[in-house]
Amino acid sequence: MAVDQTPLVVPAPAPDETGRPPGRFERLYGRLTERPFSLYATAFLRIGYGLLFPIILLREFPNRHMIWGPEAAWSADLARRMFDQNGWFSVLTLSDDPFYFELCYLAAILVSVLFMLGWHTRVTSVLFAVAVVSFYSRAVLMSDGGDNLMVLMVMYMMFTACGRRWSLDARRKGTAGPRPGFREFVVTVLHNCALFVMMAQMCILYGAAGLYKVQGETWGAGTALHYVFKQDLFRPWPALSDFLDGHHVMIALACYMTVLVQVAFPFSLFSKLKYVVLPILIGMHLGIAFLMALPMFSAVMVLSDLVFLPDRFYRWAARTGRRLLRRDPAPSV
Amino acid sequence: MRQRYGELDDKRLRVAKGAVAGLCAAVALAHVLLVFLHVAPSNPVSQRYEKQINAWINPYFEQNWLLFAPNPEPNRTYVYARTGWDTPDGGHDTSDWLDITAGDDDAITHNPYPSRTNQSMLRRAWSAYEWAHGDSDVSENEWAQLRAEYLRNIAVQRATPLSPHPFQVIRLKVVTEPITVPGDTPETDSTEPVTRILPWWNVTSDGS
Repeated sequence: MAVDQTPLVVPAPAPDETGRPPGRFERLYGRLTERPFSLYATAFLRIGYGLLFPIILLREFPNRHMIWGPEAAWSADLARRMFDQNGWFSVLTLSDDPFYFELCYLAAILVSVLFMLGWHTRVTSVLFAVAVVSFYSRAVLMSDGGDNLMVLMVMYMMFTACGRRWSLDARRKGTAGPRPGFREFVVTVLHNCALFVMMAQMCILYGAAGLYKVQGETWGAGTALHYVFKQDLFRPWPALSDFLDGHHVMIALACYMTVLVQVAFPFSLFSKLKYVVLPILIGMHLGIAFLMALPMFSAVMVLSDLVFLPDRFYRWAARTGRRLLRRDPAPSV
Repeated sequence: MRQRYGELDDKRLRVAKGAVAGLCAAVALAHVLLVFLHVAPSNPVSQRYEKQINAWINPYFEQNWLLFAPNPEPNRTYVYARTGWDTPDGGHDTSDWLDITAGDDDAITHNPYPSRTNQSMLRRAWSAYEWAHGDSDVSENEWAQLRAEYLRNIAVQRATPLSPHPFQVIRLKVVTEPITVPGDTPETDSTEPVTRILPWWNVTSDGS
């Protein structure tokens, strides 16, 4: 896909008519309004969520009627009664016709793919959010934290310009050149605000996950993971779980590491420390994915963490990836 | 677009831009603050503005990030179902306790990506029932009623292939077995499983 190779020029804040240097407020206003930040990061997240959601739907395809269908144990009637209580909405409960359900299922997969490809991204991002919310709320008692986070992030994504890079839209319209006008101004402000909210959401997530663990005596005693490894539903490899469970010192270190990293996460983002904390968190999630049979939960968490990587990382990764794919010799510089 | 806004003179455009930027920034900051208050433990601020917080957060921004906090579940839970039916002579008969958890455990062993029907369905249905009912089995409100019906429906679905006879009533037995403290052997372990038996529930064709 087309990658913007032009170096990003950050325009210096224009001095106003009086000629005095911009103050703190003007600088902040400039950051908010002059250009959309992290276009590559949001594009990457768009591709990621657009990929993960249909994987869930395809994984559960044989069980779809038991989870989201009109005849599920959590029947459409129960779901509608719950919506009366808490105000959720799902397109899936609008009709009990089995054919309608299959149609929704296919439409959700189709919308996800279009969103992933970035085809008329603003419209597909709204449809994608409707799809994700609909499947989540239809079976909210069968969801995990990853589903919850995906709902939040795709709602925020509607307000970002996540189709500006690595998308069919970008290929059609091109990425070069500043776009003047009031409309572009609004797009930029919305994008930057949504990006801020997504980052703040991740900080709240990890801060809460860490601080609530601090209150638990098993995390303090360094034994919490023992109880996790003994849960039948989260030990796909019983021999491995038992082996790890036998190493008490390692378990205790992992417990402390988990709490420390989660609590530290929001504070590490303002420094280079994030390049230490992010890999640890990602490693932790890979461990959870494999050891506890929670690959989708972990994938959503890792993907959402990647909102914090700067665009120069994504451009570097894209360049490196393409060089490896083409097996070009490394540039001599 | 440019033509449409071209008529705006510079000053009015600046005001419009300032208003948009201010509004968006204010909504974003307010949203983050409200999410924080929703997620944080109950405190004087969140108690005082409970109505406003709930109005903004519910339902679409609902979230909790306990994730094994404050402590991981310290028990293993096993659910059994017993089915009952009328006999032709006017009496009643029941099945043995049917294990409706075992299939989940089997489906997860050596499976890198288990289905949520195995990993979450019965587990979450039971914890939601327990949370809404406490130690009583009377559904005090619509929430509790919904959770009881959900649990009943799962039990019926799972007991149907296991039951020796078509059935009109079903009841559940939930065995909660504490996970031994690390280092404890079965000999030194003093914890006993707790058994809870739920009342008979009617199984009707319309699911009520």
